[in-house]
Formats: sequence, C-alpha cells, structure tokens
Amino acid sequence: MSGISPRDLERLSAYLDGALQARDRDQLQRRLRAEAALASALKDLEGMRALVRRVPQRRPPRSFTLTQAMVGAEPKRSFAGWNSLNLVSAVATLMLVIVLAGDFWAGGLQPLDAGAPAAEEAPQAFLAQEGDTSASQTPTSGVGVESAEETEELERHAPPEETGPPAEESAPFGLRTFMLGNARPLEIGLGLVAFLSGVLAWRARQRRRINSR
Amino acid sequence: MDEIQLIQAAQQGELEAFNHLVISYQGLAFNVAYRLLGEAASAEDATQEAFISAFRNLHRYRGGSFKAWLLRIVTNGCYDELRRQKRRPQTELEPEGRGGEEAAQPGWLADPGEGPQELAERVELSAAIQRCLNQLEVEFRAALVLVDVQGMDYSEAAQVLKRPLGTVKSRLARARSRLQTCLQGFAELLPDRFRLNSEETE
Repeated sequence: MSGISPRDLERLSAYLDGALQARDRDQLQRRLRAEAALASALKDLEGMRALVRRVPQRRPPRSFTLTQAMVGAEPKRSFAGWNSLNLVSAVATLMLVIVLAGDFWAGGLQPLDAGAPAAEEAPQAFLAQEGDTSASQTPTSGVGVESAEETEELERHAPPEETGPPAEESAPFGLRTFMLGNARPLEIGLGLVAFLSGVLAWRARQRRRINSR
Repeated sequence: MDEIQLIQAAQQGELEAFNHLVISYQGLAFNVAYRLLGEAASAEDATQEAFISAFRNLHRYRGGSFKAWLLRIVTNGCYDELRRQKRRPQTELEPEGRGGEEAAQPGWLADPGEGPQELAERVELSAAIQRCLNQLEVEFRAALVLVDVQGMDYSEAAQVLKRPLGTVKSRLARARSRLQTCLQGFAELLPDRFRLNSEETE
C-alpha cells in the first residue's frame, strides 16, 4: 500500500464501509478496474479489517452495577435540595438585612430630629436646676427628683448629651437592640432561617463534593 | 421498561433503573476501555468510573444515542487515564503476554465450538492486534476500536468522539493503514489463515 496516496487510502477505507457518495463510489470503481495497485490495496485493507473484526469481545471480569454507596445521595434530588437551601438562605438573609436596615434607618433618624430640641433644652434645664434646686423634676429625663443630693447624683451619672429621649430610642439602634436581645420576632426568625438554611446548604454542598470525588 | 423509560427513571434518581442500563452496556464499555488502554485492570477501573460518572451526570443527557453518550464518557475517561500513565509511567509487577494480553489464562477467549489449535491462534491474533493498537496514537486507536472492533458506523463513532464525520473517516483510514503496516511485522506469528493478502502475494 506504499504507492497509494493518503487521499486514495481514505477513499478506499470509506468505500469498504459503504460510506462514499454515489458519484465518488462509481469513480473509484472505475479506477479499481483499471489500477491493479489500487485494487491490491483495497484487498489488503479488506483483509486487515476482517482480521480486526475477528478480535474476540472480552467478557467483563465482574458486574459494574452501582450501589448507593458508590454514588452517594441521589444526584438530582441532592442538587435540587442544595439549590433550594441556598435560595432560602439568600432570601432570608436579604430580608433580614432589609429589616435591620429599616430599623437602623428609622432608629437613627428619629433621635436626630427629636434630640435637637432636647439638646437645646438641656443647658436651660441645667441652669434652671442650678438656680432652683428644689425643682421637682428635670425637664428632659422625666424622672422625679426629691432632693438636691439626688439631683447632683443624677447629674453625675447622666451626661448632658444623654438628657434626650431614653436610651432605647436613640441611634444606632436596630443592631444594638437586636444584640441586646430586644429584637422583634421577625428579625429573630429571619436570622434563624438564614443561619440554618445556610448551614444545611453548606453541608449538602460538602456531601456532594465528597460524593463526586 | 424500554431504554428511554429506564433513562427517565434513572434521571429521577432510580439506581435500579440505571443498573439495567449498566447490565446492557457493561460488555461494550469494558471492551472499548480495554482496547483503548490495553490492560484489563485499568479498563475495569475506567469502566466503573464511567458508569458512576454517567449516573451522576445523567441530568445532562439530552436525548439521542445513549450508547454514544455513554461511550463518550468511557473514551474520555480512557484519554485521562492514558494522560496520567504518560505523566507517571508504571512498570508491571507481573509480566503479561504480548500486547498486555493475559495469555496464561485465556479462558475469556474460549468458544465452545473451538478446538485448542484455533483458540491458540485467536490468542496470538488478539495479542498481536492489541500490541499494534497500543502503538497507534490514541485518537486513531479510538476511531479504529469503535468502527472496526465494535462495528459502529461513522456517524455513531463521530458522536462518541465528538468530531466531524470527515475527521473520523480520515483518522480511521490512517489508523487502518498503520495497523496493517504493524501487523505485517507479526506475519510469522500469525496463523496462515490470518495473514494479509499482500503477504501471500509476495
């Protein structure tokens, strides 16, 4: 087959498998009748193919059926579960952020507006207290004072800037109240859902990664 | 259940349905892996890995020939294994027969209607062909194994190899030519009736 061009070799190979177009096949058949070398190459190729086709199929040494242990969790369900857990976690986290931001925004603005007059009033109240120690109550704290000693005690412990609204209503607020355990049930619920679904999604992902090794 | 129903059930995670497919295709998958890798133990591992991978990736199967889809996983696994072997060449602890055939225990070759002489001839032939296959570049080898050894048509082989039909055609032609040249080197080892025509005419 040494005198046969690669193109002819390809044609002969395809001809052998019946994979030539009708026109190419007719053309090759004409050449095969005229060219002995080409006909001999075809015969060689045919013999070689017959030889290879005689190669016996080897019996598999064992069964390749799968067990649950081999494949781990069912692929489709674990994939869907992992996705939905991720989605739940993301949605819950987003809602929690929105709620906390809302709290922070509302809690952060209110004291600024309400606190300004209170801060202006504070020196006057202080002066009033200095002038009249028998005043029955401070204007801003709203706490009743019975004596001058008690007023002095109160002033020592309460700096002027804290003479506005009570501590629960000042900024920064949502996060601090949440941290102090005063969060609303919605915030706690969202936090728990975000945390638990996040942990479960992470665990599902880890298990999936181990199974796919 | 027919094949499509088995595939659909397996896609829903039913391992038993998938195992029916495994039983149908394990012979073919193992033989393709064996002819590509030239060694039984590696072929066994590659076949098992391919079935595991097929089950895990069954959601990616979008119809068409399941056989071609599965064999693509098998051949890709074999390519990976051959690349690994190239990076880390290993020496066998136990010598095998020529071409990696386990010639000492050719029980798997036994054909009930075959005499010892014919069996010996087939073992020789199989070993010679495997040795020549191992010398081919892996892409040529794959084309030849799929079409000539497994009897696939060109379009099916093209699907398995994910190559255009023309590429498969030309690879097959070149693989046949090289295999023929290689087998001529084994002429005296091959029984008379297996000798190629050109040997007889010379």
